[in-house]
Amino acid sequence: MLSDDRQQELDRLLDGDLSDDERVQVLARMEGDAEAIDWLADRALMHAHLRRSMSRRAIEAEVMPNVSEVLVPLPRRQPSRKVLTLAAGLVALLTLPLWFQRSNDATFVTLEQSRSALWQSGELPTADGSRLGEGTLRLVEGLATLRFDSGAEVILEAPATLILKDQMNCELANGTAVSDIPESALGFRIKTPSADVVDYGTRFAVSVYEDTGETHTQVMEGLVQVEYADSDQVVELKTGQKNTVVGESLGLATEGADQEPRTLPVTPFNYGPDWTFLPTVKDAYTGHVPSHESQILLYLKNSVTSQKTGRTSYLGFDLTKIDLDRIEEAELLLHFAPTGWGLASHVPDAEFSVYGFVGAVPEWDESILHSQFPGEPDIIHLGSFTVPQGVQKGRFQVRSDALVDLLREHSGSEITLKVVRETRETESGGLVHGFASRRHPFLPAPTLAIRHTNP
Amino acid sequence: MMNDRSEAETRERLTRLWLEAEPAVRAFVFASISSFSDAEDVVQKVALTVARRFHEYDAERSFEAWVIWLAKSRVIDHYRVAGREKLVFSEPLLDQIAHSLVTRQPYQSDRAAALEQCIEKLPDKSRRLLELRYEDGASAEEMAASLKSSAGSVRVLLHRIRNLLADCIQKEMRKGEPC
Repeated sequence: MLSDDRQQELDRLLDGDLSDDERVQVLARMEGDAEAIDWLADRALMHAHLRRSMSRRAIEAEVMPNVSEVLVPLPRRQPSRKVLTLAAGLVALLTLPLWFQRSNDATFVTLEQSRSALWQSGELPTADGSRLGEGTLRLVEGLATLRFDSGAEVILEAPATLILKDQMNCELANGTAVSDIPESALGFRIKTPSADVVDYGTRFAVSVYEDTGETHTQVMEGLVQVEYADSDQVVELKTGQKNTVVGESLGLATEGADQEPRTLPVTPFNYGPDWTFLPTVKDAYTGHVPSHESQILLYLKNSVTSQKTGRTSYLGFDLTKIDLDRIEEAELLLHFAPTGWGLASHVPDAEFSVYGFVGAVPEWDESILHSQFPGEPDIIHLGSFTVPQGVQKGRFQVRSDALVDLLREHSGSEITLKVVRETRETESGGLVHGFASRRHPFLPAPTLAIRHTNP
Repeated sequence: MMNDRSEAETRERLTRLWLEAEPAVRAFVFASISSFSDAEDVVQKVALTVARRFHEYDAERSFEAWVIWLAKSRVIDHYRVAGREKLVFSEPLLDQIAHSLVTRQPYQSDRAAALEQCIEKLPDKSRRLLELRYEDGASAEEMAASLKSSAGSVRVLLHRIRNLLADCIQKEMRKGEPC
């Protein structure tokens, strides 16, 4: 494909916008260049059509000015000579592109501002004011405003992955991008796994769901085209319209952009009406480090230095109101949150295990924080889950037959589960993981979700 | 009587052929001569030449190719009269552009219709820039002065608008294709 620089050169040739020397050089470059010649032929056809079309429109406007004033009170074009003068008033509307300020390096985007941003490591700088070239940005939390040299502004909303291609093109792999496109960036294109969204001068939002590749587009102002990636189908969206591309279907343009867009997929709620939820009646962790305590989080750590700095959590549930014989499925739900202690870089992807106490379980209460768990009852492994390195938030769960068996076969009315981090830190000072206790002000307590069979 | 009828038929045939060929001829002349008024004068002269020499046209051959061949001479004349021969396309280059245009000749009316629809999709500001360029024939500097922008900025914007229109025309044309 002819480079953008060559295309611009040929446009200037058509416009008579080259000096004599430049023109001679451009003509010499075209000799024998079939691609350039074909491109010029196509462009010349459009150029000649445009001259005729705009002249015809001018004549129509001059012939029928009164009609248009009466019927359509739109700002209408003025007779030719006045256009230049009037257009001065449009100055403010035309954004001066940063095109000229573009340096000769390979960068084409400025990371203008980030707010509460947490970036996943990558090949691009993420400090405010950084100049960026081709590469991938992974925003884990917060917002980041990017300014392309074409003038396009893209606000990335986490969690999101954006691949920067050039000053007129980017790819949104997942997450949400809210774009404000001035005229200088007309034709700005956001590619997604299922569609291309092409802008005609507007403000719009695109959300991509990572799992399904669904593309949701919503236009706040202006006009965009959503092109289905697998065919030539195109949907035009005007102000206030939205569209969803999912699977093999390019959806219709529908009204309703005044509603808030969905930016993340709906997580199916896996618990129907036959599920019961039991929060802990007591919970605590052992492993005391002075002044590193929390009343609201339960800590977990596997330390390299000493067992004393390790942390293990214990959860107590009251099963009095549960019909144990009818338990069909069971799951333990934990909501992780940052503890503010330790270095994530010293802990790789971390595996956590949940154990159940079997047999006689000694009495314990939440004051065990400053001591050991009383006794060493037998335990049985119920299940494990992995938290990726650097991740400190989110819901993690264990659902297993072993948990169901433990609940069914348990004799007493109370049950105790133990949660440990199996993965040891690689160096001392590693991250302390934590999940919400029953005292957390807004996160759910550790919860047993239990499904019963119908009676 | 027979002569009158024959003359009327010839005129009708000439008109029909000219209307079909005219977009390619205009494009050829507009590619070669950047001043709109000069280019339109040359297209007029080509039309007159075609009418005068229509009896020379060999119906076995492509009418577009014949007309563009006539247009080529007119374009070269235009540069010669202005004493700017070194700025005209070389003959091989003119021939290649002519060939490329003749192969694109079919569907020109569809292309023009698609362009009209695509212009309507443009934001007002973009349409106004096209008015300045194509109605008034304003140069990049003149447009920049009117818009209190810079010539470079206006050039880039115009380039983008044309790219957008080109993409849009392609899509509009594909819509009309049978599945």
